[in-house]
Amino acid sequence: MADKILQASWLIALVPLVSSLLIMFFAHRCKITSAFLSIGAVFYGLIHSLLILYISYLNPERTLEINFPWISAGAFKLFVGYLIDPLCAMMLVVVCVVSFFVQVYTHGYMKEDPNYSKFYAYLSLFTFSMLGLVFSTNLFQSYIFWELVGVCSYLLIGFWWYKPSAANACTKAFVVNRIGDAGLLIGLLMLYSSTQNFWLNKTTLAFGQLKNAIDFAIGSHLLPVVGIVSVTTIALFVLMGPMAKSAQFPLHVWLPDAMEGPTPISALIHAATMVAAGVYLIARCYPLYIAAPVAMATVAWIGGITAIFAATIALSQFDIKRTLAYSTCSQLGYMVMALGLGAYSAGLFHLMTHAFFKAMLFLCSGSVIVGCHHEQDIRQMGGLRKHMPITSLTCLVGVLAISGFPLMSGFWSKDMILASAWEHNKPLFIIGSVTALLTAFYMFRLYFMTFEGEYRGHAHPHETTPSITIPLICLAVPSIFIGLIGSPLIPGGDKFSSFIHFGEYHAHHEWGINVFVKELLTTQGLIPLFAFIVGTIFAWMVYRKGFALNTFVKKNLSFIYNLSFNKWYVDEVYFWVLNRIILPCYRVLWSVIDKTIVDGVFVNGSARVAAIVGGGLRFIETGRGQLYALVIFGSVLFAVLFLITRIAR
Amino acid sequence: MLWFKDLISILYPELLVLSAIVIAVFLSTSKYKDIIWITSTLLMFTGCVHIIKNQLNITEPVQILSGMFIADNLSVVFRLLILTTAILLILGSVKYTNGFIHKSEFMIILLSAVLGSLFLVGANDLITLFIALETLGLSSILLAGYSKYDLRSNEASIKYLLNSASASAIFLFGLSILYGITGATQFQEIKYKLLQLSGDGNLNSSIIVVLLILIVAGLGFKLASAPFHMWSPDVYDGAPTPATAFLSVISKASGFAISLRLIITLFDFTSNLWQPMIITISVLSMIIGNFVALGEAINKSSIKRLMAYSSIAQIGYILIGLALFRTETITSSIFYLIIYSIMNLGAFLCIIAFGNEANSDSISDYSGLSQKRPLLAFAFSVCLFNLAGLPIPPAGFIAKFILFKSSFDCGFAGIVLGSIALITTILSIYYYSLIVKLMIVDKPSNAVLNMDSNKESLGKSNELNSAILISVIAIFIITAYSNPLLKIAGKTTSSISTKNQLISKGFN
Repeated sequence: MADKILQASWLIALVPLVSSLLIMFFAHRCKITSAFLSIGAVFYGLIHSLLILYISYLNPERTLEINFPWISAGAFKLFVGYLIDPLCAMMLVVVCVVSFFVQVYTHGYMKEDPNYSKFYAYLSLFTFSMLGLVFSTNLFQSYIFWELVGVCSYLLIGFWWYKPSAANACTKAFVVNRIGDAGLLIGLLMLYSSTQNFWLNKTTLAFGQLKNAIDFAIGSHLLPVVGIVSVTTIALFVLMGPMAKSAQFPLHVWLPDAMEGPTPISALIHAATMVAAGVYLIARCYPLYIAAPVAMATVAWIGGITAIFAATIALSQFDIKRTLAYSTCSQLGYMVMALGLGAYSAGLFHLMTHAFFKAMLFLCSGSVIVGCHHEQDIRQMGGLRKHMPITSLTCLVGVLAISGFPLMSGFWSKDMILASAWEHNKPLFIIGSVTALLTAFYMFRLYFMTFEGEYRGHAHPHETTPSITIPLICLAVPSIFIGLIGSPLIPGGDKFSSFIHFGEYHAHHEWGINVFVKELLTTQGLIPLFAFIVGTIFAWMVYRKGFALNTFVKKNLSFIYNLSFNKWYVDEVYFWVLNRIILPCYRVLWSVIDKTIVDGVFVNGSARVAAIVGGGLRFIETGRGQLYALVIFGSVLFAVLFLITRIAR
Repeated sequence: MLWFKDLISILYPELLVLSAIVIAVFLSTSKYKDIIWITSTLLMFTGCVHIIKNQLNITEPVQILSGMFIADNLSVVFRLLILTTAILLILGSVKYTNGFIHKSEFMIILLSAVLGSLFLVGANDLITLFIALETLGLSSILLAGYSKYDLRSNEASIKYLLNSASASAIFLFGLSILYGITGATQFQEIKYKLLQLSGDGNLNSSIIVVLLILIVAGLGFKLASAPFHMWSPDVYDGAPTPATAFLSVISKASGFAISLRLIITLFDFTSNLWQPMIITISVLSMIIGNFVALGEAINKSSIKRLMAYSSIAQIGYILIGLALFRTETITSSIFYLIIYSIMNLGAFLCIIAFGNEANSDSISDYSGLSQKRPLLAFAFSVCLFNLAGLPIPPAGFIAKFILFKSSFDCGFAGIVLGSIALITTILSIYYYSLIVKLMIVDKPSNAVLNMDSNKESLGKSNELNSAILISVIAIFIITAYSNPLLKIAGKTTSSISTKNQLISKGFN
């Protein structure tokens, strides 16, 4: 039975694809049918993936890898298949759970939209692509689905394409992701070309064989540059993909703008699943990074920088979704940092907990936006707790979880990351702790400004429909409790690390209340807690008690404030570089090289030649049948004479 | 009675087609003319199922009718391909034939052409070969001239007749020399004699060269490859569109199958003599086909003319595999041919659909089609992109990739051929995407705008639409699931080459 369930797991990905196609071609006029198809598909996936998680949990060593050849040209083969291991099982559940609740939520959120069915079709398509990415057995397959989720993200950010801001945002997301994907593709091809002989009768670029492949390449001096250096190069190129997709500095610029899409999309794609794909890919390619310490350190530092950088921006944003977007960036930074520090389990643990509470926070923000009649500016909100009790309560849960309130999910995962940072890299520990403080501050700022105090807007806020609030309540449960599986409070200790790990395997960890207290009462345990308390108190004082820190900073330290408010001018710098350096250079090069040489000689010249030749050859076709027969006989005669003389000689 | 049982089980599809013809003849004299397509497609579908069930996993070649017909992987695969494409073609021509005065005979001739090509790919004897070839050829001539009151169709028919007669004469001359040398008509016997002669040193290489030139010219005509292509633009343009599709898909596929069989089975030991010829033909076809197609596209002439040149170019690509004469290249050629047949047929079905509705074949009339018939424009774009080898979806890309890669692995000649193929592919991308651009970007033409109100047009047809749907879905399926097809192509290749080994072992 268990075998059958594992073997049929491809159905989880296929069913959403089928439902997406059905909606696109047959059900695009019927709202109820399309919602039913899409939600039903992901519900099936949810049940099936829970079963897989259960089977996999009982026996973490039990993995299943099935590959089908897709293209084979001589020695060059590409495979698609599915790989079930603990990591995959965990990701499947995360994707399916979040996707399911978001799709239920969508019914309430998009009720009025004329393109309701299309939205569900895209959602299903996205679910398929994301699951395909999770199932990938090798880097090539990952790359295909990587692009597919990118396309879905593009389509969904630009779902309200008639808004110029949405159209620009989706273009921006696409362009920035292209930079990352180009890097990923280069890395992937370099890896393939340097380990070509290794893959002769194996699955090309299979994740399970990466370690052997790299050892093989280093051992037999096959890498293009000397040994370890080129592993680093490959690892860094591969890293570009996750950097763009997981919105790491400096390729993070697309994520805040992506909030122009409908809120369910922000929750599903730009908070819980797709942006975590980068982290997932780094985790899958971990042997590559283990072999290249420099690349590993780069990963850690990029993560750390992104974490604190995005947190400082989030301090001063007024758009409720943008604040959350920067917070997503910052939390993704944590995950990447954890992976870079070698804390494999911690990074993926944070991925899981974050997926739940951040999806919920986004859905809360959507609920607020609907409740306030499409108002996104938190200055126009306030006091919503009275009007929207369920939303405010769930939002509070999310805020507590993300800022690390003890015993909530975010607390455990963040602690785990910071503990390993303390162990390996003290500067990053400081960065992480400061980020934790800032996180607590801006999340409570968001909460206080939205739900507490007096209502400052002009609309009539109201609680939203059950199809919006029920997913919120359902997601609140894992947001509180899911962290416990990685805590020392349950029997057997940190179950998550035993389940998903890289390298050393510990079936049991120390556990019990005393272990928890002992771990908490160390420096690395107390500092994050302290950071949470300080951040919360500051937020409380500033936004509830009128302690004028914010206006003080705004007036007297306007430099810092502006830096934060204008997102460190990253967009401006990019545009400056683009407009002042790249475009002028491009214009010069364009007029000289492109326009005269490439266009004039090669493109237009060859086109003209081709057109003339083509046009000229057309006139051989005179339309006279006699001539045609003559050509046949003539060419036969010519061939005979030519070859006979050749042979005779 | 064992041989009889064998005969029936092997020739079952052909017998079904034959009975379809007989039924069609009877039906065409009655008032039930409209169900001919149903009976024929059903019978042919049964034939397909029979082949898939009983013959596709054939291991040993079976010869029947005292060696006149052979059922090996080559013939099985190509018969299956011909039957499938013929079913789609019949579905596609149902509406089109309603425009004729004598509509039922079109199906009868089409079916006999299909019968001819079915026998052609299984021919194992010079006599079967020639008779099947002429059945196919004469039926094609009739099909090309079927539009009785259309002058261009008449012209096409006459031109095809003239050229076909010339080519047949040349081909038959070659065959007669072959018979003269060996004194046999059955392929295995011919091969045995040839090997014996060359073993004794009695084989005059000049006569072999002449013989090969004559045979290759005859086959080159059937494949419409340059320089024997001159007839094809005029004939494709003038003939009724289903007949054009037949010429471009089924006739070419069976021509390629018989080229493989004749050249590889009989003359593999003198490959240095025929390889230059095929290389020349392939290069010329690629260059002339693509260049002139570009010219046609720029001058916005008829789409059928464009497709004629495009299929000349495509046969150039397909011949690369035969020209390089390695197992991998031939496999990838067969694979390419299978995918080419599907996408080219899809494109022609779309042209039929457009012609039915807009009454036009001119390229400029296609502009703005996506605004009126988005699905038709989508299907046509998919087929054209695949013909160009763009990965949208990548069925055509996979085929081109595998073919070019196998070619680049074959030394100097392979690199040259592969480079020419790549460069000319760039040209082809231009003219295919020009049509897509016309359909999607440009403003609707008058023909498109008048589609719904056109009194002269034949209108929509469900049968045709379902055929288009099937071919587009097939492209998508091949994209996701190309490997089994590649395996079948590999088996086909090995069936030709293992047979050679067997012969060499047995007779030497």
